[in-house]
Amino acid sequence: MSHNVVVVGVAVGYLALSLLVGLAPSRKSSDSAEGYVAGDRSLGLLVMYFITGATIFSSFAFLGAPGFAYSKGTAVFYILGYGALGFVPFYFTGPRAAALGRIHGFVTQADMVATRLERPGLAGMMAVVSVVAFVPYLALQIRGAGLVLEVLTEGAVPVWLGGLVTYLVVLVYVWKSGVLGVGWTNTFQGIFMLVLAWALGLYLPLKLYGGVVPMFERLAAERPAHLAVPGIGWTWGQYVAAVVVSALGFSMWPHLFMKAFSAKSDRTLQRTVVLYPTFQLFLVPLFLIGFAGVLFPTPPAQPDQILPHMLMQLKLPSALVGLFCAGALAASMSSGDAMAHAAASIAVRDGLGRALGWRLDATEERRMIRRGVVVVMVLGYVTALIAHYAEVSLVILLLSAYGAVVQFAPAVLLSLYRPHGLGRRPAGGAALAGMIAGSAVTVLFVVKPDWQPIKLHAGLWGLLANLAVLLPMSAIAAPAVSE
Amino acid sequence: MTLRRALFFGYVIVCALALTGGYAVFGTGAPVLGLPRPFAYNIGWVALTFLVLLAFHLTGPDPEDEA
Repeated sequence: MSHNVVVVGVAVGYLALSLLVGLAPSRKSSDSAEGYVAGDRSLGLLVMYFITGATIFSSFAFLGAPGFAYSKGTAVFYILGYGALGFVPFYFTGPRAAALGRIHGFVTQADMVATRLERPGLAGMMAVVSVVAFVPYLALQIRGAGLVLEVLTEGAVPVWLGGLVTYLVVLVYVWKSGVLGVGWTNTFQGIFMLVLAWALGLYLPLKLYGGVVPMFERLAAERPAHLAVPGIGWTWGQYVAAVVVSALGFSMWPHLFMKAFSAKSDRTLQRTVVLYPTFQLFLVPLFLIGFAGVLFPTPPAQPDQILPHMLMQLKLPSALVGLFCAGALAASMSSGDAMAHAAASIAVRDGLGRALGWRLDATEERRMIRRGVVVVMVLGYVTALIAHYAEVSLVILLLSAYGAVVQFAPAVLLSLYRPHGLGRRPAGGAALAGMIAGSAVTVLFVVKPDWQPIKLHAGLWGLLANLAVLLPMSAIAAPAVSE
Repeated sequence: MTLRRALFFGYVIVCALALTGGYAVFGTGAPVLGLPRPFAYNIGWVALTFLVLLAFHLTGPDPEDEA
């Protein structure tokens, strides 16, 4: 049997298994939007652990992380740096949001913020930013899936076909099962990815250098720049700003924050946060893979292809290559499904429902969210193809998106703990003005990085602008008429 | 604020400083257990954070009881 047939066979088998797992819980939630979006607030610890872990274990994990270590050396450790503390705020904010969700029926972050701060426009703004942030992120996942299949089948399965088939599978189980489909597949995919990451992370250094320690000894002797801090081409200011912005923004990502409304109990949420650093340690083998590629005899076409490149060059058994292919698809799908589901939920519930005032009953809302999933997937797919074939960089869009999501932080914290800000009435106007100012400054500095007074992360400058607008505005707000 | 919470927030501040400014000072040097110092340093803080979070969680009251 030829190499390509085996690789495609393993990948198709994996996709079929994912589909079965994703469809299994389709009848386990109610027919309401709450059932589809929040799983009737019933997710237990195991599913919550994998839904948060596997969601961030995206295409970046199997392609970007090794590629980043391969090309930038120790700069890749910033991921460990922000991951250590990034989820800790959720230990406190998660149960608080969950309690508010149970009382008021919130199932999205923007729903909660707009209601608590009494400003429907905030829901619209957050819906737009969320969708704009998710589409390029989803496109990267789709492109990642297509790229892996293309490289590992030596071009027999082109990017457009690989991405299309993979995300048709995702579309079917997200359409049918909602958040429960996302949760169950993430658990299955998460376990699969972790086993594979550790197997490859230990195997490749062993095969190429005789072990992890000998590998680092050779790197220290032959490529010391790869082991010097803060990383190749990075300044300390950039490194620290990247850690700070990523840590602050981490628990603000809408698809992660929404899980506060899905968990079975507050204790489950807290246990998920406690266990999260263990998921972070599963990135370690992927960094080892990247470092193993530094002294590899032939370079890949792009740094992100270092892992599939090594697997192909080492002439490993086709079944093993197929398993890696399935692992990379798992990483892509476990993030892409959550993003498509969250983007559609937010667009319908917050954008159409709250900001535009559409009146939808539970059945209509669920139907609209399902249609939204299709629209978001199509947008992501088209964006992925444009980025791939026209060589348009998604990085600027993605960096803007990351910086923009950080701008949610002040409004979310206000809505949770101090809806009146520094004044005496709901600080919705101040929060909205701050969010707009912060997002604008972020986009400006992403597009024109040289305009930054000190070279940091664009999102950090945006956050400063956000607070500079929000704090005085909320303080000088006059008392409400009723007071 | 209870002593337990104060200690926890103290740890969070120390950890945040260690992973940013402190990393530049203490994150370089001889390898640790065969791993480059920057790698071992970051893994160490992630592992320590897990243990501190676990201790904080296990010694605290159930949030449902608090409510």
